[in-house]
Amino acid sequence: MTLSALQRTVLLAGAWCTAMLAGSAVLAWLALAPATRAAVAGDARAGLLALLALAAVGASCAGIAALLRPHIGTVPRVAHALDVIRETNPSFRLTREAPRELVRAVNALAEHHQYRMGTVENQIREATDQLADERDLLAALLAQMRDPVLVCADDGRILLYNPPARELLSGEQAAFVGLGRSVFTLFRRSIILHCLDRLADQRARDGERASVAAIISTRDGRFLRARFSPLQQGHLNGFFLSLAEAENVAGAPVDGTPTSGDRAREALVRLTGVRAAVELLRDYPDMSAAERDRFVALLDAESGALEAALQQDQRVRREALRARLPLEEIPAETLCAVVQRRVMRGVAADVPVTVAERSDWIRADSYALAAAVRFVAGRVRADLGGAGFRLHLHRGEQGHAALDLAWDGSPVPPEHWRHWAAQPVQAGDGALPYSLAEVARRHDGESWPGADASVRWLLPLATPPEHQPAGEGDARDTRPEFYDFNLFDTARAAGDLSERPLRELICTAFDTETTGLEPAAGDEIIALGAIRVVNGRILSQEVFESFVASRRPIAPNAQQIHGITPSMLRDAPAADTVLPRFADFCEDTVLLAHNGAFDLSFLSRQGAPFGLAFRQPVLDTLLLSAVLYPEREGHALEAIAERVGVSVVGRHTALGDAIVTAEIFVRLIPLLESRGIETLGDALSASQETWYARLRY
Amino acid sequence: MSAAPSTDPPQPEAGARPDEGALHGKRVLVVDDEPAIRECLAFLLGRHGIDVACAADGDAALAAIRARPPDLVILDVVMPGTDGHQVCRAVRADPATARMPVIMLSARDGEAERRKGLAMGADDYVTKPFSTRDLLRRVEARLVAE
Repeated sequence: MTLSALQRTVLLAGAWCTAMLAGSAVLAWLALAPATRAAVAGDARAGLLALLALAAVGASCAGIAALLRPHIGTVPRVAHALDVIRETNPSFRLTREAPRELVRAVNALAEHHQYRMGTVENQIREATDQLADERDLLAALLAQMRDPVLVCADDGRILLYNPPARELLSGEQAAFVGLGRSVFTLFRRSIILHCLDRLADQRARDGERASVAAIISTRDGRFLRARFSPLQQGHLNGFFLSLAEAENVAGAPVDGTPTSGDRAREALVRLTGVRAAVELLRDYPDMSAAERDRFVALLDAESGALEAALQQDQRVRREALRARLPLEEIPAETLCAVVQRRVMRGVAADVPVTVAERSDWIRADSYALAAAVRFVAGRVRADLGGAGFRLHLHRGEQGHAALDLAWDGSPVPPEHWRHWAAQPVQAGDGALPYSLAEVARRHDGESWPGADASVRWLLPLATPPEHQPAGEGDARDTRPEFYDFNLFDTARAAGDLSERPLRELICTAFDTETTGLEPAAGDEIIALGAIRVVNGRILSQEVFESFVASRRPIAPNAQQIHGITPSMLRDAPAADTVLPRFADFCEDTVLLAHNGAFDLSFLSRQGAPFGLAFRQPVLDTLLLSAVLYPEREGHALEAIAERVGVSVVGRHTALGDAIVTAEIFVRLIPLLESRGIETLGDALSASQETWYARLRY
Repeated sequence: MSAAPSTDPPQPEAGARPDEGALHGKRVLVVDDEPAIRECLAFLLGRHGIDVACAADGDAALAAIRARPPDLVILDVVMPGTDGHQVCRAVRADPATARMPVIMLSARDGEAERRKGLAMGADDYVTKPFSTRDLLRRVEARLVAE
C-alpha cells in the first residue's frame, strides 16, 4: 500500500510532535537537580505521570488523524474523478468526496467539458453522415450514368471511374481500369496530351466551359469518342473524360444505305458489262453496224451506271466518316499552334508560323492533321534532306483555308508522294489507322505537294462561334460538390515515392503458384493472382487472376500444395500473354507479396524474354512481420494472419493468397506506424535491416 | 413469271468460223438478271454457232431447262428470287439433267465462294468481271468434253 503525499505529511507531523514531546521530557529530566531526579524517580506517581503524558500525546495524534481523515483522501479522489471525466465518462460527477466548493468547481468544469464534447461529437457525426450521404449519392449517380466516365488528376492518374467505363475499357486485350492507375495505360499517350493541350488553350479563352472532343484509340486499337472537360476546384486539379463507342472508322455501313459489299458488287456487275462490250467490239470487228451501235450504246449505259455506283460509294463513305469523326471548330491560330507544337516535338527545333487571316476559324481534326503534317515533315527530312520548316495558313479557294508546310530544299517527287500518301500516318508512338489521303478526305479537302518545296492541305473554313462569356458564377453553382476524395491528395503528393506514407500507397498484392520450388532449375509460374490496395483500402473489384500454360510438368509435391492439375491448364494462355498483362496491371504500383523474393525470382526470370522487368519497390509481409515481432519464429502467412486477426479463405490459390497478403498488410500499417515506420522508405529500410539480421542467424 | 424462257433478240448473222464446227448447233442457256450481260453472251456464243437461249431469273431458267434441257448452262449466282445456287442444286437433283455442265458466274470473289459454287455442283466458276475469250474457252472445253 502506498501513501499519498498528504498522508505522509500528516504522519510526519505526528512523528515530529511525538519527538518534540519526548525531547522536552528528556530536557526537563536533565534540568532537574540530581536530588529531585532521585525524588521523582523514587516517587511511584512519576511513572504513571509519564504514561499519562504518553497517552495524551497518542490521543491527540489520533484525534488529529480522525479530523483530517476525510480530507486525506480528497486529492487522489478528485484527481481520479477528473481522469474519468476526461478520458472515459464525461457524465461522471463528484458528490461528497471533497469540500463543497471543490465539488462545485469540479462539477461545473465537468459540465462544461461534457457539453463541449457532445457538441464536437455531434458535429463530427453530422459531417461524417453528410459526407457518407454525398459519397453514396455520387456512387449511385455514377452507377446510374450510362455513359462511361473517368475522372483523372492532371498527372493522368484515374481518381474515379464508373461501371460502364470499366466495361468499355476492360476488353480481353485491353489494359486495366483502376483507381490510381494512369490513364496513359489505356490510351495512346500522344493523343491524351494533345487533347489536354487543347483543353488548356480553350480554358484560357472560355474558362470553365472549355471542352475538347476527339476520337481516341485504345491500346488494343478500338476507337472511342471522347470529351475532355477541365476539373478545377480549390486545390483539386484534373480533368473529366466522358467516353462513347465510335464504331469501326474504316468505313462500315451507315444505317439505311447499301453496305459497302453491296456497293462493290454493283460496281463489279457494271464493270462486267463494260468489259464484255469492249472485248466484243475488239474481237469481232466484222460485226454489223447495227450490232456495233447496239454495243456502243450498251457500253455507254453501263459505264455511266458504273460511274454513278462509284460516286455513290464515295459519297456514302465520306458521309460515314464525317458522321463518325466530327470535325472540331478551332481558331486558325490555335490550329497552327497545335500543328507547330507537334512538328517541333518530333522533327524540327523551330518552326515559324504565319497566319494570314487571324480571325478565321477552321473545321479540323487537329490531332489527325497535326500527325499528318508531322509525318510529312519527318519524311521530307529523312528522304529529301529538307530543313528550315515553316507553316503558313491562308485563305484558299471556295470556303477553304490552305495550310502550307514549306522547307528549304527540293520539292517532293511525285513517286515519293504516292508512296507517302498510301502509308499509315506515324504518330510518334505508333501508326494511326489512316493514311495521308484519308486525313485529307476526312477534312473534305485535299493535300498535295507544290511545285516549290512545300505541301498544301486544303481545310474547310468554319464560321466563328458567337463569343460566350465564361460565366464563372453559374458554372460554379451548377457543379456538384463531390470532389473531396482522398485520392486527389494522393495524386497531388508528387515527389519521391519513398516519402509517401504507407497508408497512401498504391499497391498490387500478388501471389504465384508454380510447377516447383526452383526457378533456376526451370520451374515455371502456372497461376498468378493479384489485387490492388489503394490508400489502405483493398479494392475487391480490381483483381487479376489467370492460369498460365506451362511447358514443364507440375512436381507432385507442388501439386499437393496448390492442387492445380495439368488439365486445369489445358486452355490457359501462355506466359507471353499473361505476364505482359500482369505487368500492365501492376505498372506504377508498389508490389506486395509474402516472401516476395520467391515470386519475384519467377516473375523476372520468365518476364525477361518479353522485355518485362519488375523494378517497382517490393514490400514483403514476411519481413514486415519480422520487423514487428523479431522475437517470434513463425512468420508463415497463416501465423501472421492469425496474429493480426485475418481470416484465411482460399489459401493456396494465387488470388486467395494475394487477398490474405493484402489484408495482412492493411492491418500491419497501424502497428508499423506505432513503431515510427510511417513511409514506404521507412518500411523498406526496416525490412532490409531485419533481412540482414535474419541472414546473420 | 413466264414459263417460257425469255429469248433475247440479237442472233448472230455471221455464220460460224470453219474451225468451230464442234460448237455448231450446241444449245446453251444463259441465266443472268443483267440484260447487258445476257446480250453480250448471246452475241459471243452466237458468233460461234451456238444456239443461245436466255433467262432473266432462276424460275424462268428451271422452266426452260425442264422444257428442253440445253447442252450447257451459264448461271449467275446472285439473282433476285431463286438464286444460282438453288437452280444448280435443282438441276443436279433431277436425273434427267444431273450430268448437264453448269458454269457459274459471280461478282463474289474469294476461294470460299468458289468452293461453295463447286460444292453446289457447278463444273466451273468464273468471277465477274470476266474476259469473254476466257469464258468462251471454258464453254468450249465443257461442250467438247460432253
